[in-house]
Amino acid sequence: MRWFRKKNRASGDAATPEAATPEAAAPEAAAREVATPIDPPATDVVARPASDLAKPKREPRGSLLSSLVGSVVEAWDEVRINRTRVLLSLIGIGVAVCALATVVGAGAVFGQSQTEEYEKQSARPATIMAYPPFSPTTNEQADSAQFFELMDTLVERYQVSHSTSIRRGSASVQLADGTQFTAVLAIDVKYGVMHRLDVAEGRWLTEADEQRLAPSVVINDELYEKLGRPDLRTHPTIELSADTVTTAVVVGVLAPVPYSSGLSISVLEAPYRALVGSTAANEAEASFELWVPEEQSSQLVEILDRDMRAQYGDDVQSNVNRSDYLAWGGPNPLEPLQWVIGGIAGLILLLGALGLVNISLVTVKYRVREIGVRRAFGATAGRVFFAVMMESVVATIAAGVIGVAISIAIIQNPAVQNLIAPSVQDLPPYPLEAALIALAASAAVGVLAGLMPALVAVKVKVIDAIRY
Amino acid sequence: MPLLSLEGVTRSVELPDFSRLDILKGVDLDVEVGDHISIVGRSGSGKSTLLNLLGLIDNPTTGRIVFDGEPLEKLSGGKRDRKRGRDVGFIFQQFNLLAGRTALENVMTPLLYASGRQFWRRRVLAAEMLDRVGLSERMTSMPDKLSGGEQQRVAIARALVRSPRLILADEPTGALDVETGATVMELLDTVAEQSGAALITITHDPNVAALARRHYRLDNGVLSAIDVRRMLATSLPEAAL
Repeated sequence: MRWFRKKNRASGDAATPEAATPEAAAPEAAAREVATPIDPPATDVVARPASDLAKPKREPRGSLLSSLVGSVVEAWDEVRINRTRVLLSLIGIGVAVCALATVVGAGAVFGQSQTEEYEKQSARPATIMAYPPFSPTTNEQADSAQFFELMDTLVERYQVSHSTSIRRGSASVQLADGTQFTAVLAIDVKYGVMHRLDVAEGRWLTEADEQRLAPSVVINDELYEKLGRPDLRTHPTIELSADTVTTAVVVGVLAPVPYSSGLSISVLEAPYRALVGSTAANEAEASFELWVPEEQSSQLVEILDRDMRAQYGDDVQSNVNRSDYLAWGGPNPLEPLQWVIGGIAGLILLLGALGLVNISLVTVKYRVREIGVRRAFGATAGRVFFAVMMESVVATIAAGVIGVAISIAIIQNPAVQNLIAPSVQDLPPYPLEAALIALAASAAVGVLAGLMPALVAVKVKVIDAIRY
Repeated sequence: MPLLSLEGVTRSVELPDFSRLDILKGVDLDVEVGDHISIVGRSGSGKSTLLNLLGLIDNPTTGRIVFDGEPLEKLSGGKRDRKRGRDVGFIFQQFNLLAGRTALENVMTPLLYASGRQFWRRRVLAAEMLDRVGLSERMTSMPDKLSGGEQQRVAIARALVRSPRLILADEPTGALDVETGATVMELLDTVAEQSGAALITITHDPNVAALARRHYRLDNGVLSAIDVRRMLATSLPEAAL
């Protein structure tokens, strides 16, 4: 058949042989293409004057931006077109990133719970504890009332927002099965915040409790149990015997602790003095705590010590020290836990990355022709490398975002929070670091997983790829 | 000054037994702006190798290739790739459309490697180009839903969308039936002529070759000018080749 002799015939002839050709599978399309007229140039896309064609074209400005955007567009197109494959390959990464973000997030919640536990056991960082100075010459400890007055002056002078005096004494409490000794902690209102006291029922002591005729007390769970867990709305009372017999009103109950601490009550300083008498109060073990910013703590310890000596003389043995758990020395007690969690998360991510590398390598092998075509149309080796790499990065970041979103849903779930840290008071918000670490890790995995396929893609020979 | 000039170009490869196979032997060719050249030759005569050299894809073993007055050996890999993207448009026998992408996306592909106005207006330019080749109704069709002729039209639109100065067509009708091939060649010829770009058609079909203004035959790596019309008039194409 001599098509070149027929090309000037009327288009009506052209449809005749179509059924006998491979085009028979698409007769309509074939008829359309034969009948389609060649339009005159509609735009400047093609029709450039021959004089222009004789001149070399210059690369317009902004080629870096268009290269960057072009690479991302290319990468996104590839991800979009192969979404099923990408989705399957990214399930592992998504799960790994979710696991990473979840363990970091759960670690933060658990860490907060541990921190609070430490703070309950000692005090919040940085807490400075001072005792009445001891004089070796008189072999006596300074009067606690005067000591507290001095400390109040110093608290005012150095504008410390949280401080409390502490006296540890004892009293007898009348219970249904007889009288029992109970520890009595005489403190200021701010002691509750400073020691993260967890009030399970009722409330903590307030300034108004100073004025009450019947002293308000907060009791521990063991004593509450002994009292038969009365409803606090009925204002239950207990009878305390020391210097006098006093009826106290139970206004709050501390949360139970996992270890037995005996019976104890917390009461404000003034009612305590009334209960045990001034002499007994002064003889009780006394101390004073100040909650200060960590960075100022060591300087304040020195200043308080100096002020103490100025008041009591240089020969006294002043006892001013930090007492919170961070002052115990040694490594951060939470550090081993953080390392274990980080290690597990890293391992999960590594497994996900290995799976992605595997799939990416296989995929590149199937894309040799496409890469060759792109090279033929002007894609530089660098551009191909960057595009293949970006495919991996774009995909893993997308998986990372989904993984982090699922992780947030898991960590913020009340049931999960209750499981990780049932007694935590200040539940931390979803840690930003967990999201950032997970996203950075997913991007890094994308780079690592994309590196090998990108190197393979760059080595594709254009000639072989097109013929392939 | 010719757009593209080959001066004494040879290309040889080393075989596994360390002997050398000379694929091209001293090829001289000048391609002017707006030229239409056909190169015919049997399978294995070195047509594809010559195409790769003309398309700035491969390097000659000896000899010089000068594009725009600039010797090819002076161009780094990246510069050569960018020049190829800007100035050369390829049309392949097997179309080589990217699977999973619509006709429009395929035509947009070369513009991804452009910059400035061509890059940012790539969708509009590609649509206009598809309209030029009569496929404005098929822009959203996937390659596997297009007929062979339509696929080659898309390939032509893709090759021309960056307004190249040289179009290289490697057996453009090789995968098409005669009738469709005629239409495609007519389109390619017209569009190339309208754009003013030089067109080099490499084929083993003398009928396709006859459409060009200058004709060459590649035989055992040697390029020589021929009179295709006389060849067609006297005998079957196979005998002529």
